[in-house]
Amino acid sequence: MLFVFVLATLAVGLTFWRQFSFPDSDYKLEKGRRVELGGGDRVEQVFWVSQDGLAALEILLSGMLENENTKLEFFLKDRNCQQVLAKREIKGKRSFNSKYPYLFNFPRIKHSKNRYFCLEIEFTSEKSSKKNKIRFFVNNWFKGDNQRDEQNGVERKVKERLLKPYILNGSSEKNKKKHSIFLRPRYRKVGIWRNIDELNKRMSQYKPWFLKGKFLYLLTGVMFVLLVVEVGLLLFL
Amino acid sequence: MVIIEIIIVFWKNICEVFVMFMKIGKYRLVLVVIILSFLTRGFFLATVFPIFKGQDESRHYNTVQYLAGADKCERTLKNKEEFDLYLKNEQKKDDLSTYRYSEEIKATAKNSQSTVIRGKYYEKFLFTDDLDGMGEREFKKRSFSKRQAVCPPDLATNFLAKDHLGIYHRAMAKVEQLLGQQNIFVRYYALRFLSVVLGCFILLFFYLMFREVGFSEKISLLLTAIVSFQPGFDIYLTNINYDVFLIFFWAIFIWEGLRVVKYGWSLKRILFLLIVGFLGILTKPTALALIPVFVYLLIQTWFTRASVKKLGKGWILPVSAIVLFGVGLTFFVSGKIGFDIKKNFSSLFLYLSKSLPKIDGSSRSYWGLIGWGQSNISLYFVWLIWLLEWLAWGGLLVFARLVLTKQKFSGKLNLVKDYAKAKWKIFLFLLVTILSLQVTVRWADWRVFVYGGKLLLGTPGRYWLPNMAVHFALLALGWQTVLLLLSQNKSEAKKWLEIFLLGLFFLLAVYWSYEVFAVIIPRFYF
Repeated sequence: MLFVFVLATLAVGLTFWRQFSFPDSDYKLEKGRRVELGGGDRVEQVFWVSQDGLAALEILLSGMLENENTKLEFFLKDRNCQQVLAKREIKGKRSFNSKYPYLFNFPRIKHSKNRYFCLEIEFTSEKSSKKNKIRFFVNNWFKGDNQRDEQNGVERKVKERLLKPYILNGSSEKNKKKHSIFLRPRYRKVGIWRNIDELNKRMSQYKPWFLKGKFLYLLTGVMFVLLVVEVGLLLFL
Repeated sequence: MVIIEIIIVFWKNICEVFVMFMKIGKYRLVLVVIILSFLTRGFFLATVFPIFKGQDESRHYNTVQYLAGADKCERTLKNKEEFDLYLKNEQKKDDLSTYRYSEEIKATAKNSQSTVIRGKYYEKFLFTDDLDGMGEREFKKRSFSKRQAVCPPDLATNFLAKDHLGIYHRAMAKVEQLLGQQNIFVRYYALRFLSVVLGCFILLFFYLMFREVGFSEKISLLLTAIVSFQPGFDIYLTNINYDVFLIFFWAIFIWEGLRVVKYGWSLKRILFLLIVGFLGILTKPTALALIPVFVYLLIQTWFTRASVKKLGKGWILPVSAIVLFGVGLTFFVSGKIGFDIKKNFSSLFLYLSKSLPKIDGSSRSYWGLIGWGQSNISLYFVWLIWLLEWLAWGGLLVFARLVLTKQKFSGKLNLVKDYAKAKWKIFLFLLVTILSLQVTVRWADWRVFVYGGKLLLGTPGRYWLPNMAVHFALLALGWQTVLLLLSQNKSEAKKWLEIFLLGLFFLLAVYWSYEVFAVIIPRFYF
């Protein structure tokens, strides 16, 4: 039983680690216009990255893969959409709910700051049907976050970003309005402690002084110690 | 393996030395650790949740501020028309800064990006690279008016309390006044921490309840530890919400009620029950469900007298009496608040047909399933827990059947029958407590259904939290019954129950960890 417990705890830790990357606060996800990918379709989106340590992309998707003969592939490529830097393949029956972003994880890219990358999504299906579609969301959203900054009552220098319009099946014909796909880069720092430190900083924000920084570390540390002691005592009672 | 054995022996020796040093006994040491662990986990969870994120927390905190002196109004809506227009045109569901709160709460909601956490899952805070959030440092230096921006203000009321404002908010208002010079984040999180501290006392009373039911020290500790990891219970007890007081008084009432069942009445017990029940009612009307429980205790005591037992079949008389009393009380309270049961009775079946199919949703939220994210792992946990629950209810059916039948048994069935007979009065008391809360909450929900024309209130899982320990006590009786049927003797069954509960503790601990680290923290911070 203890072995299963330790295994399950490790599995929880692994699930936590998989998600342990930090979204770029300059990007936002929204549901704008929907674009559909049918069998054999391919879309490319070039985007700019503002920090080092690019480790994942969040994409809003909806739709489903109906059966074993359908496949959705995600590629992270260089700015020319040529060299494959990372790849993820999803095969078989699977549905995507646009309420929750899909997380495309890949090994951390050390020097990603101020560079362009390309996301390519390719959908393969033997049969075409109404159900067997994948949809993503697009809009002209790279004009800046002035409105949101005003709402927060805070002046913030809005970074200028250049985002290329998405390209569908090698052509920009179907994207006359020059929309871009809603996606959001996520970053991971070097080493686990730097990431924990980043999480500590985020959790400290909008908190009282006794729940910031070192105090939060202390609370978390004591919590884990007591957790272990509690499990140990109950196990050997 | 050798290393593991060495670690085990070393650990055991450390505990023994510590116990000897502390002279408090190993079971009390474990209880202290369980409660301290709950305390730190509660503080941690209270920190994880951003300000105003808890269920109705902003309303409860506004009520606290109102009582602490923020009862003057900037603007008053003069009639129902104006009020309806305000709700339609000015108040936006996801934007707390448009609600009828104090100026300070509205400004804080704006500054702390509260629309983000009330919005879609993929909307995230704009974080800084610092310990302070965007604009936080400047915000804390400013002072804001605590006047209510719009009256009538949005308050959490209790129609049974003085000025319709309950004792929880009044008590917290004193704390709010005491910390008056501090910024809102200090005051707010201090109140959350107080909820956690109160939760520790609730946990202590839960442990005492399990002991009164007749479980051994070890089993009671395991049950207490299991409850302390129940995510619904844990999360809710980090909130600023009058339910924390309700659960506190409820726990004390049921504990004392169990003592009445076991040891009988005394003047001290009657007074204690009346005072605690009264305080519960002054906190939240849900505590009205304790009145039938109190009456049941009276009936049960009266019925154990030999002269009364002669009146008939064992259980019919007290059950009929309590049902009649319950119906009478329901009509009485309904009349007092202007709800005509006779006139609206026909809607009851429509209400039940809409409400009862949602039991699974109610149970999922009771077990703390938050449901953020695409993964179904939390759902699998809940399904497994339901499976174990059904096993317990199966055991309780056997339990009840064996007591109610006059048939004589031999062997294991006789063993189980003896066990069931010994626990029968306790079982009935616990069952009445469960049923009383169910009926009370569903009655309130039905009333809102009649006035609103649809399920507006519902029966979310948090409404059943007062009966958390009662629920687990009943489940443990059920599991013990099943294990008695499967074991050779009582001590073997007891040993298997300990192992089973230890496994359940591990399951809840892993489930809690999953919800906190893989669901809640990513939602707000990743």
